[in-house]
Amino acid sequence: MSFAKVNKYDIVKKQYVHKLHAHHNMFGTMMFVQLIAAFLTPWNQSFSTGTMRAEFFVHVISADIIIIFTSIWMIIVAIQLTTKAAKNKMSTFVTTKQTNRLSNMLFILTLGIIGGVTTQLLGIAVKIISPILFPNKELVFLAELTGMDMVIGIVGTILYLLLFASIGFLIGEIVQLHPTLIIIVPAIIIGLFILFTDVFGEIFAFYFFTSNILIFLIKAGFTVLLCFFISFFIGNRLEVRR
Amino acid sequence: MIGVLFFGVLTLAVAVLIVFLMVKYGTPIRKSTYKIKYRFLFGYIALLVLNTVIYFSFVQPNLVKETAEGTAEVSKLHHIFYEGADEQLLKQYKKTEWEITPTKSPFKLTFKDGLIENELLVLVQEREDTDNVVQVTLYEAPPVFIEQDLSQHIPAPIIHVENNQITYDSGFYEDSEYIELSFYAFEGDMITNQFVSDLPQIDNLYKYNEWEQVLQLSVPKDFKIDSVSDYFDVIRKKY
Repeated sequence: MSFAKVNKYDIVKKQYVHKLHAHHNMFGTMMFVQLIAAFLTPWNQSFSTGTMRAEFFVHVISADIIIIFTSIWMIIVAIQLTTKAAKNKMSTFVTTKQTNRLSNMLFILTLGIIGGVTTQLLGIAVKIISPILFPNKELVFLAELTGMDMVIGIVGTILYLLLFASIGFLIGEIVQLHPTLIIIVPAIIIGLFILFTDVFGEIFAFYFFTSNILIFLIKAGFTVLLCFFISFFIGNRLEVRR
Repeated sequence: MIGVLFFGVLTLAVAVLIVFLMVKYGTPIRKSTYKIKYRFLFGYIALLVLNTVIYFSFVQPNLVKETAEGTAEVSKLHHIFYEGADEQLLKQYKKTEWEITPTKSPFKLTFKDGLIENELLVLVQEREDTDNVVQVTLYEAPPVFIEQDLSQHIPAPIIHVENNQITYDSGFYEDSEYIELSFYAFEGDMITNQFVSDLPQIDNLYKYNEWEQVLQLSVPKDFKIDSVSDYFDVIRKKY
Protein backbone atom coordinates (compact mmCIF):
# COMPACT_ATOMS: atom_id res chain seq x y z
CA MET A 1 0.00 0.00 0.00
CA SER A 2 1.41 3.34 -1.04
CA PHE A 3 0.87 6.59 0.83
CA ALA A 4 2.32 8.76 -1.92
CA LYS A 5 -0.07 11.56 -2.83
CA VAL A 6 -0.94 11.41 -6.51
CA ASN A 7 -1.47 14.60 -8.46
CA LYS A 8 -4.25 14.33 -11.05
CA TYR A 9 -2.50 16.72 -13.41
CA ASP A 10 0.67 14.58 -13.32
CA ILE A 11 -1.29 11.42 -14.06
CA VAL A 12 -3.03 13.00 -17.03
CA LYS A 13 0.31 14.31 -18.31
CA LYS A 14 1.98 10.88 -17.91
CA GLN A 15 -0.93 9.12 -19.57
CA TYR A 16 -0.90 11.62 -22.40
CA VAL A 17 2.84 11.16 -22.97
CA HIS A 18 2.40 7.41 -22.73
CA LYS A 19 -0.38 7.55 -25.35
CA LEU A 20 1.89 9.53 -27.63
CA HIS A 21 4.53 6.83 -27.27
CA ALA A 22 2.17 3.87 -27.38
CA HIS A 23 0.29 5.09 -30.45
CA HIS A 24 3.26 6.42 -32.40
CA ASN A 25 2.21 4.24 -35.34
CA MET A 26 -0.83 6.48 -35.80
CA PHE A 27 1.41 9.31 -36.99
CA GLY A 28 3.26 6.98 -39.33
CA THR A 29 -0.08 5.94 -40.76
CA MET A 30 -1.13 9.57 -41.08
CA MET A 31 2.01 10.45 -43.07
CA PHE A 32 1.54 7.41 -45.29
CA VAL A 33 -2.14 8.18 -45.91
CA GLN A 34 -1.42 11.85 -46.59
CA LEU A 35 1.39 11.03 -49.01
CA ILE A 36 -0.88 8.66 -50.94
CA ALA A 37 -3.50 11.43 -51.08
CA ALA A 38 -0.86 13.92 -52.20
CA PHE A 39 0.19 11.53 -54.94
CA LEU A 40 -3.41 11.27 -56.15
CA THR A 41 -4.15 15.00 -55.87
CA PRO A 42 -2.88 16.17 -59.30
CA TRP A 43 -5.09 13.62 -61.07
CA ASN A 44 -7.97 13.68 -58.65
CA GLN A 45 -10.17 16.29 -60.29
CA SER A 46 -9.98 16.30 -64.06
CA PHE A 47 -12.53 17.97 -66.24
CA SER A 48 -12.92 18.24 -69.96
CA THR A 49 -15.11 20.18 -72.29
CA GLY A 50 -15.01 20.80 -75.98
CA THR A 51 -16.41 21.98 -79.24
CA MET A 52 -16.41 20.55 -82.75
CA ARG A 53 -12.80 21.45 -83.29
CA ALA A 54 -11.20 21.56 -79.87
CA GLU A 55 -11.18 19.82 -76.53
CA PHE A 56 -9.93 21.24 -73.24
CA PHE A 57 -8.68 19.25 -70.26
CA VAL A 58 -8.17 20.77 -66.83
CA HIS A 59 -6.59 19.22 -63.76
CA VAL A 60 -7.87 21.09 -60.73
CA ILE A 61 -5.41 20.88 -57.87
CA SER A 62 -6.48 21.47 -54.30
CA ALA A 63 -5.98 19.81 -50.92
CA ASP A 64 -9.48 18.26 -50.98
CA ILE A 65 -8.44 14.63 -51.27
CA ILE A 66 -5.77 15.10 -48.58
CA ILE A 67 -8.48 16.51 -46.30
CA ILE A 68 -10.76 13.56 -47.05
CA PHE A 69 -8.04 10.96 -46.48
CA THR A 70 -6.89 12.63 -43.25
CA SER A 71 -10.50 12.81 -42.02
CA ILE A 72 -10.92 9.09 -42.65
CA TRP A 73 -7.66 8.44 -40.82
CA MET A 74 -8.87 10.59 -37.91
CA ILE A 75 -12.17 8.71 -37.57
CA ILE A 76 -10.38 5.33 -37.62
CA VAL A 77 -7.81 6.50 -35.07
CA ALA A 78 -10.55 7.78 -32.74
CA ILE A 79 -12.40 4.47 -32.97
CA GLN A 80 -9.15 2.63 -32.35
CA LEU A 81 -8.65 4.55 -29.09
CA THR A 82 -11.87 3.08 -27.70
CA THR A 83 -10.85 -0.54 -28.32
CA LYS A 84 -9.97 -2.87 -25.46
CA ALA A 85 -6.39 -3.14 -26.69
CA ALA A 86 -5.95 0.62 -26.48
CA LYS A 87 -7.55 0.78 -23.03
CA ASN A 88 -5.39 -2.09 -21.76
CA LYS A 89 -2.28 -0.15 -22.70
CA MET A 90 -3.22 2.30 -19.95
CA SER A 91 -3.63 -0.40 -17.31
CA THR A 92 0.00 -0.14 -16.23
CA PHE A 93 -0.79 3.33 -14.89
CA VAL A 94 -2.50 4.47 -11.75
CA THR A 95 -5.58 5.60 -13.56
CA THR A 96 -9.16 6.64 -13.15
CA LYS A 97 -11.76 6.95 -15.84
CA GLN A 98 -11.59 10.71 -15.51
CA THR A 99 -7.83 10.97 -16.07
CA ASN A 100 -8.04 8.50 -18.93
CA ARG A 101 -10.76 10.61 -20.57
CA LEU A 102 -8.78 13.79 -20.21
CA SER A 103 -5.65 12.21 -21.64
CA ASN A 104 -7.72 10.78 -24.50
CA MET A 105 -9.13 14.24 -25.26
CA LEU A 106 -5.65 15.76 -25.18
CA PHE A 107 -4.34 13.03 -27.43
CA ILE A 108 -7.16 13.51 -29.94
CA LEU A 109 -6.59 17.26 -29.83
CA THR A 110 -2.91 16.66 -30.62
CA LEU A 111 -3.82 14.36 -33.50
CA GLY A 112 -6.25 16.96 -34.81
CA ILE A 113 -3.73 19.79 -34.66
CA ILE A 114 -0.95 17.78 -36.32
CA GLY A 115 -3.38 16.36 -38.89
CA GLY A 116 -4.85 19.80 -39.67
CA VAL A 117 -1.52 21.57 -40.02
CA THR A 118 0.10 18.87 -42.15
CA THR A 119 -2.98 18.56 -44.40
CA GLN A 120 -2.93 22.22 -45.35
CA LEU A 121 0.85 22.39 -45.69
CA LEU A 122 0.90 19.27 -47.85
CA GLY A 123 -1.69 20.90 -50.11
CA ILE A 124 0.83 23.68 -50.72
CA ALA A 125 3.62 21.16 -51.33
CA VAL A 126 1.54 19.51 -54.06
CA LYS A 127 1.13 22.93 -55.70
CA ILE A 128 4.91 23.35 -55.79
CA ILE A 129 5.41 19.97 -57.43
CA SER A 130 2.52 20.23 -59.94
CA PRO A 131 4.30 22.40 -62.55
CA ILE A 132 6.97 19.70 -62.71
CA LEU A 133 4.33 17.01 -63.15
CA PHE A 134 2.66 18.97 -65.94
CA PRO A 135 5.55 20.55 -67.85
CA ASN A 136 3.57 20.96 -71.08
CA LYS A 137 0.43 22.29 -69.51
CA GLU A 138 -0.49 25.86 -68.86
CA LEU A 139 -1.69 27.16 -65.50
CA VAL A 140 -5.07 28.73 -66.23
CA PHE A 141 -6.30 29.64 -62.80
CA LEU A 142 -4.74 30.43 -59.47
CA ALA A 143 -6.61 31.00 -56.23
CA GLU A 144 -4.05 33.30 -54.66
CA LEU A 145 -3.70 32.49 -50.98
CA THR A 146 -2.65 34.85 -48.23
CA GLY A 147 -1.07 33.89 -44.93
CA MET A 148 -4.38 34.60 -43.20
CA ASP A 149 -6.22 32.29 -45.63
CA MET A 150 -3.77 29.55 -44.69
CA VAL A 151 -4.33 30.13 -40.96
CA ILE A 152 -8.11 30.04 -41.43
CA GLY A 153 -7.77 26.88 -43.54
CA ILE A 154 -5.64 25.21 -40.87
CA VAL A 155 -8.02 26.17 -38.03
CA GLY A 156 -11.01 25.00 -40.07
CA THR A 157 -9.32 21.69 -40.89
CA ILE A 158 -8.39 21.11 -37.25
CA LEU A 159 -11.99 21.76 -36.20
CA TYR A 160 -13.35 19.38 -38.83
CA LEU A 161 -10.86 16.69 -37.82
CA LEU A 162 -11.82 17.08 -34.17
CA LEU A 163 -15.48 16.91 -35.14
CA PHE A 164 -14.93 13.67 -37.07
CA ALA A 165 -12.75 12.27 -34.28
CA SER A 166 -15.40 12.94 -31.65
CA ILE A 167 -18.02 11.21 -33.81
CA GLY A 168 -15.62 8.29 -34.36
CA PHE A 169 -14.90 8.16 -30.65
CA LEU A 170 -18.63 8.08 -29.86
CA ILE A 171 -19.25 5.30 -32.38
CA GLY A 172 -16.29 3.40 -30.92
CA GLU A 173 -17.68 3.63 -27.40
CA ILE A 174 -21.16 2.52 -28.53
CA VAL A 175 -19.66 -0.46 -30.33
CA GLN A 176 -17.81 -1.45 -27.16
CA LEU A 177 -21.12 -2.01 -25.36
CA HIS A 178 -21.71 -5.30 -27.15
CA PRO A 179 -19.80 -7.17 -29.90
CA THR A 180 -22.87 -7.39 -32.15
CA LEU A 181 -23.02 -3.60 -32.30
CA ILE A 182 -19.99 -3.65 -34.61
CA ILE A 183 -22.40 -4.71 -37.35
CA ILE A 184 -25.60 -3.11 -36.04
CA VAL A 185 -24.27 0.45 -35.55
CA PRO A 186 -22.90 0.97 -39.10
CA ALA A 187 -26.06 -0.68 -40.51
CA ILE A 188 -28.27 1.69 -38.50
CA ILE A 189 -26.22 4.72 -39.56
CA ILE A 190 -26.41 3.76 -43.25
CA GLY A 191 -30.12 2.92 -42.90
CA LEU A 192 -30.91 6.25 -41.24
CA PHE A 193 -28.86 8.02 -43.88
CA ILE A 194 -30.94 6.43 -46.64
CA LEU A 195 -34.29 6.94 -44.88
CA PHE A 196 -33.71 10.47 -43.63
CA THR A 197 -31.59 11.98 -46.36
CA ASP A 198 -33.22 15.38 -45.86
CA VAL A 199 -32.44 15.42 -42.14
CA PHE A 200 -28.84 14.45 -42.81
CA GLY A 201 -28.73 17.12 -45.49
CA GLU A 202 -29.78 19.71 -42.93
CA ILE A 203 -27.20 18.44 -40.45
CA PHE A 204 -24.47 18.68 -43.10
CA ALA A 205 -25.67 22.14 -44.08
CA PHE A 206 -25.52 23.20 -40.43
CA TYR A 207 -21.75 22.68 -40.53
CA PHE A 208 -20.71 22.91 -44.16
CA PHE A 209 -22.60 26.13 -44.98
CA THR A 210 -21.24 28.07 -42.03
CA SER A 211 -19.00 30.69 -43.54
CA ASN A 212 -17.87 32.35 -40.33
CA ILE A 213 -15.01 30.50 -38.67
CA LEU A 214 -15.95 31.74 -35.19
CA ILE A 215 -19.53 30.51 -35.50
CA PHE A 216 -18.17 27.23 -36.83
CA LEU A 217 -15.80 27.07 -33.86
CA ILE A 218 -18.81 27.32 -31.53
CA LYS A 219 -20.82 24.74 -33.49
CA ALA A 220 -17.94 22.28 -33.84
CA GLY A 221 -16.74 22.85 -30.27
CA PHE A 222 -20.20 22.24 -28.85
CA THR A 223 -20.65 19.09 -30.96
CA VAL A 224 -17.23 17.75 -29.97
CA LEU A 225 -17.95 18.29 -26.26
CA LEU A 226 -21.41 16.73 -26.64
CA CYS A 227 -20.00 13.65 -28.40
CA PHE A 228 -17.29 13.25 -25.75
CA PHE A 229 -19.84 13.71 -22.98
CA ILE A 230 -22.08 10.98 -24.41
CA SER A 231 -19.00 8.78 -25.01
CA PHE A 232 -17.91 9.17 -21.40
CA PHE A 233 -21.42 8.47 -20.20
CA ILE A 234 -21.42 5.24 -22.24
CA GLY A 235 -17.86 4.52 -21.07
CA ASN A 236 -19.02 4.65 -17.46
CA ARG A 237 -21.20 1.64 -18.15
CA LEU A 238 -18.13 -0.32 -19.14
CA GLU A 239 -15.56 -1.74 -16.78
CA VAL A 240 -12.00 -0.49 -17.03
CA ARG A 241 -10.77 -4.00 -17.85
CA ARG A 242 -12.77 -7.07 -18.62
CA MET B 1 9.90 30.36 -63.32
CA ILE B 2 11.89 27.20 -64.03
CA GLY B 3 14.68 28.46 -61.80
CA VAL B 4 12.32 28.89 -58.87
CA LEU B 5 10.81 25.45 -59.41
CA PHE B 6 14.22 23.88 -59.75
CA PHE B 7 15.22 25.61 -56.53
CA GLY B 8 12.08 24.30 -54.83
CA VAL B 9 12.69 20.73 -55.95
CA LEU B 10 16.35 20.89 -55.04
CA THR B 11 15.50 22.19 -51.56
CA LEU B 12 12.97 19.39 -51.20
CA ALA B 13 15.51 16.78 -52.26
CA VAL B 14 18.13 18.15 -49.87
CA ALA B 15 15.63 18.33 -47.01
CA VAL B 16 14.57 14.72 -47.65
CA LEU B 17 18.23 13.70 -47.66
CA ILE B 18 18.82 15.52 -44.37
CA VAL B 19 15.83 13.84 -42.76
CA PHE B 20 17.02 10.47 -44.08
CA LEU B 21 20.52 10.98 -42.77
CA MET B 22 19.23 12.18 -39.41
CA VAL B 23 17.19 9.05 -39.02
CA LYS B 24 19.81 6.71 -40.40
CA TYR B 25 22.86 8.00 -38.57
CA GLY B 26 21.59 10.46 -35.97
CA THR B 27 19.78 7.92 -33.81
CA PRO B 28 21.76 5.84 -31.31
CA ILE B 29 21.14 2.14 -31.79
CA ARG B 30 19.25 1.66 -28.54
CA LYS B 31 16.73 4.40 -29.02
CA SER B 32 13.20 3.06 -29.14
CA THR B 33 11.09 2.97 -32.27
CA TYR B 34 8.73 5.77 -31.31
CA LYS B 35 11.58 8.26 -31.11
CA ILE B 36 12.57 7.41 -34.66
CA LYS B 37 8.96 7.80 -35.77
CA TYR B 38 8.67 11.18 -34.06
CA ARG B 39 11.85 12.32 -35.72
CA PHE B 40 10.24 11.39 -39.01
CA LEU B 41 7.12 13.30 -38.03
CA PHE B 42 9.05 16.44 -37.07
CA GLY B 43 11.15 16.13 -40.22
CA TYR B 44 7.92 15.81 -42.23
CA ILE B 45 6.42 18.92 -40.61
CA ALA B 46 9.67 20.88 -41.01
CA LEU B 47 9.80 19.93 -44.67
CA LEU B 48 6.22 21.03 -45.22
CA VAL B 49 6.82 24.34 -43.42
CA LEU B 50 9.89 24.94 -45.59
CA ASN B 51 7.83 24.18 -48.69
CA THR B 52 5.15 26.61 -47.61
CA VAL B 53 7.71 29.37 -47.08
CA ILE B 54 9.13 28.70 -50.56
CA TYR B 55 5.65 28.71 -52.08
CA PHE B 56 4.63 32.03 -50.58
CA SER B 57 8.03 33.68 -51.15
CA PHE B 58 8.89 32.57 -54.67
CA VAL B 59 6.42 30.27 -56.39
CA GLN B 60 3.06 32.01 -55.85
CA PRO B 61 4.24 35.51 -56.91
CA ASN B 62 5.58 34.00 -60.16
CA LEU B 63 2.42 32.05 -60.77
CA VAL B 64 0.33 35.18 -60.21
CA LYS B 65 2.31 36.93 -62.96
CA GLU B 66 2.07 33.90 -65.24
CA THR B 67 -1.72 33.57 -64.97
CA ALA B 68 -2.27 37.33 -65.23
CA GLU B 69 -0.49 37.46 -68.60
CA GLY B 70 -3.15 35.57 -70.54
CA THR B 71 -6.14 36.74 -68.57
CA ALA B 72 -9.20 37.70 -70.58
CA GLU B 73 -12.75 38.47 -69.69
CA VAL B 74 -15.59 36.59 -71.27
CA SER B 75 -16.70 38.59 -74.28
CA LYS B 76 -19.93 40.55 -74.25
CA LEU B 77 -19.72 41.35 -77.92
CA HIS B 78 -22.91 39.65 -79.08
CA HIS B 79 -24.74 40.92 -76.04
CA ILE B 80 -23.70 44.51 -76.82
CA PHE B 81 -24.97 44.21 -80.39
CA TYR B 82 -28.24 42.58 -79.48
CA GLU B 83 -28.88 45.08 -76.70
CA GLY B 84 -27.98 48.05 -78.92
CA ALA B 85 -24.41 48.83 -79.97
CA ASP B 86 -22.58 51.01 -77.46
CA GLU B 87 -19.72 52.75 -79.31
CA GLN B 88 -17.56 53.06 -76.19
CA LEU B 89 -17.84 49.39 -75.30
CA LEU B 90 -17.37 48.31 -78.91
CA LYS B 91 -14.06 50.11 -79.37
CA GLN B 92 -12.11 47.40 -77.56
CA TYR B 93 -13.38 44.74 -79.97
CA LYS B 94 -12.79 46.59 -83.26
CA LYS B 95 -10.49 44.52 -85.46
CA THR B 96 -10.54 45.71 -89.13
CA GLU B 97 -12.37 48.22 -91.33
CA TRP B 98 -12.94 48.13 -95.09
CA GLU B 99 -14.58 50.50 -97.52
CA ILE B 100 -15.86 48.94 -100.72
CA THR B 101 -17.79 50.01 -103.79
CA PRO B 102 -20.11 47.25 -104.99
CA THR B 103 -20.58 46.88 -108.73
CA LYS B 104 -23.30 44.22 -108.66
CA SER B 105 -26.58 43.82 -106.88
CA PRO B 106 -27.52 42.07 -104.71
CA PHE B 107 -24.45 42.11 -102.49
CA LYS B 108 -23.65 38.57 -101.38
CA LEU B 109 -22.77 37.07 -98.04
CA THR B 110 -21.32 33.65 -98.80
CA PHE B 111 -19.90 30.81 -96.80
CA LYS B 112 -16.84 28.79 -97.77
CA ASP B 113 -17.05 25.06 -97.19
CA GLY B 114 -16.30 24.03 -93.65
CA LEU B 115 -17.77 23.57 -90.21
CA ILE B 116 -18.97 26.36 -87.98
CA GLU B 117 -19.99 26.55 -84.35
CA ASN B 118 -22.13 29.70 -84.60
CA GLU B 119 -23.64 31.75 -87.36
CA LEU B 120 -22.01 35.10 -88.05
CA LEU B 121 -23.89 38.10 -86.75
CA VAL B 122 -24.16 40.81 -89.41
CA LEU B 123 -25.57 44.15 -88.42
CA VAL B 124 -26.65 46.14 -91.44
CA GLN B 125 -27.15 49.84 -90.83
CA GLU B 126 -28.94 51.60 -93.63
CA ARG B 127 -27.95 55.21 -94.26
CA GLU B 128 -30.17 57.97 -95.61
CA ASP B 129 -27.90 58.64 -98.61
CA THR B 130 -27.62 56.63 -101.83
CA ASP B 131 -23.80 56.77 -102.24
CA ASN B 132 -22.67 53.39 -103.50
CA VAL B 133 -20.19 52.87 -100.69
CA VAL B 134 -20.28 50.11 -98.09
CA GLN B 135 -18.28 50.47 -94.91
CA VAL B 136 -17.49 47.14 -93.29
CA THR B 137 -16.27 46.86 -89.72
CA LEU B 138 -15.24 43.61 -88.12
CA TYR B 139 -15.53 43.26 -84.34
CA GLU B 140 -13.84 40.29 -82.77
CA ALA B 141 -13.49 38.80 -79.30
CA PRO B 142 -11.05 35.96 -78.54
CA PRO B 143 -12.03 32.49 -77.35
CA VAL B 144 -11.94 32.28 -73.56
CA PHE B 145 -11.66 29.29 -71.29
CA ILE B 146 -11.35 29.82 -67.51
CA GLU B 147 -10.36 33.47 -67.94
CA GLN B 148 -7.63 32.58 -70.44
CA ASP B 149 -7.38 34.02 -73.92
CA LEU B 150 -6.94 31.06 -76.28
CA SER B 151 -6.53 33.03 -79.51
CA GLN B 152 -2.97 31.69 -79.80
CA HIS B 153 -4.27 28.12 -79.92
CA ILE B 154 -7.61 28.39 -81.73
CA PRO B 155 -7.49 30.09 -85.14
CA ALA B 156 -10.16 32.69 -85.81
CA PRO B 157 -12.65 32.31 -88.66
CA ILE B 158 -11.54 34.41 -91.62
CA ILE B 159 -13.63 37.14 -93.24
CA HIS B 160 -12.77 37.88 -96.89
CA VAL B 161 -14.17 41.21 -98.04
CA GLU B 162 -14.45 41.87 -101.77
CA ASN B 163 -16.35 44.49 -103.75
CA ASN B 164 -19.43 42.35 -104.37
CA GLN B 165 -19.33 39.80 -101.64
CA ILE B 166 -18.14 38.90 -98.19
CA THR B 167 -17.01 35.33 -97.65
CA TYR B 168 -17.06 33.74 -94.25
CA ASP B 169 -14.41 31.05 -93.89
CA SER B 170 -14.56 29.10 -90.63
CA GLY B 171 -10.99 27.86 -91.18
CA PHE B 172 -12.11 24.48 -89.92
CA TYR B 173 -12.76 21.62 -92.29
CA GLU B 174 -13.44 17.94 -91.89
CA ASP B 175 -9.77 17.09 -92.43
CA SER B 176 -8.52 19.81 -90.05
CA GLU B 177 -6.48 18.69 -87.09
CA TYR B 178 -8.47 18.38 -83.87
CA ILE B 179 -7.08 20.72 -81.22
CA GLU B 180 -6.48 19.32 -77.73
CA LEU B 181 -5.35 21.64 -74.99
CA SER B 182 -4.46 20.63 -71.44
CA PHE B 183 -4.32 22.93 -68.46
CA TYR B 184 -4.09 22.82 -64.72
CA ALA B 185 -5.60 25.09 -62.10
CA PHE B 186 -4.89 25.76 -58.44
CA GLU B 187 -8.05 26.08 -56.38
CA GLY B 188 -8.50 26.60 -52.68
CA ASP B 189 -9.53 23.48 -50.79
CA MET B 190 -13.13 22.96 -49.67
CA ILE B 191 -12.48 24.10 -46.08
CA THR B 192 -10.61 27.29 -46.98
CA ASN B 193 -13.27 28.05 -49.60
CA GLN B 194 -15.94 27.64 -46.93
CA PHE B 195 -14.47 30.23 -44.60
CA VAL B 196 -12.66 32.63 -46.95
CA SER B 197 -15.42 34.19 -49.00
CA ASP B 198 -13.17 36.35 -51.20
CA LEU B 199 -10.96 33.48 -52.34
CA PRO B 200 -11.49 33.26 -56.11
CA GLN B 201 -13.06 30.09 -57.46
CA ILE B 202 -13.41 28.77 -60.98
CA ASP B 203 -16.82 29.84 -62.26
CA ASN B 204 -17.62 27.06 -64.64
CA LEU B 205 -15.20 24.40 -65.77
CA TYR B 206 -17.36 23.46 -68.72
CA LYS B 207 -17.88 26.94 -70.11
CA TYR B 208 -15.90 27.70 -73.22
CA ASN B 209 -16.53 30.89 -75.16
CA GLU B 210 -15.80 30.51 -78.86
CA TRP B 211 -14.50 33.29 -81.07
CA GLU B 212 -17.14 35.98 -81.30
CA GLN B 213 -17.30 37.98 -84.49
CA VAL B 214 -19.70 40.64 -85.63
CA LEU B 215 -19.74 42.37 -89.01
CA GLN B 216 -21.17 45.84 -89.10
CA LEU B 217 -22.14 47.10 -92.54
CA SER B 218 -22.99 50.69 -93.23
CA VAL B 219 -24.95 50.61 -96.49
CA PRO B 220 -26.81 53.11 -98.70
CA LYS B 221 -30.57 53.33 -98.76
CA ASP B 222 -32.44 50.29 -100.20
CA PHE B 223 -29.20 48.30 -100.53
CA LYS B 224 -29.93 44.69 -101.32
CA ILE B 225 -28.11 41.87 -99.57
CA ASP B 226 -28.38 38.18 -100.34
CA SER B 227 -27.17 35.84 -97.61
CA VAL B 228 -27.09 32.12 -96.87
CA SER B 229 -29.44 32.13 -93.90
CA ASP B 230 -27.88 29.11 -92.14
CA TYR B 231 -24.56 30.83 -91.71
CA PHE B 232 -25.50 34.47 -91.17
CA ASP B 233 -27.77 36.19 -88.75
CA VAL B 234 -28.54 39.45 -90.52
CA ILE B 235 -30.13 42.26 -88.55
CA ARG B 236 -31.15 45.40 -90.43
CA LYS B 237 -31.37 48.77 -88.78
CA LYS B 238 -32.00 52.24 -90.14
CA TYR B 239 -30.07 55.29 -89.03
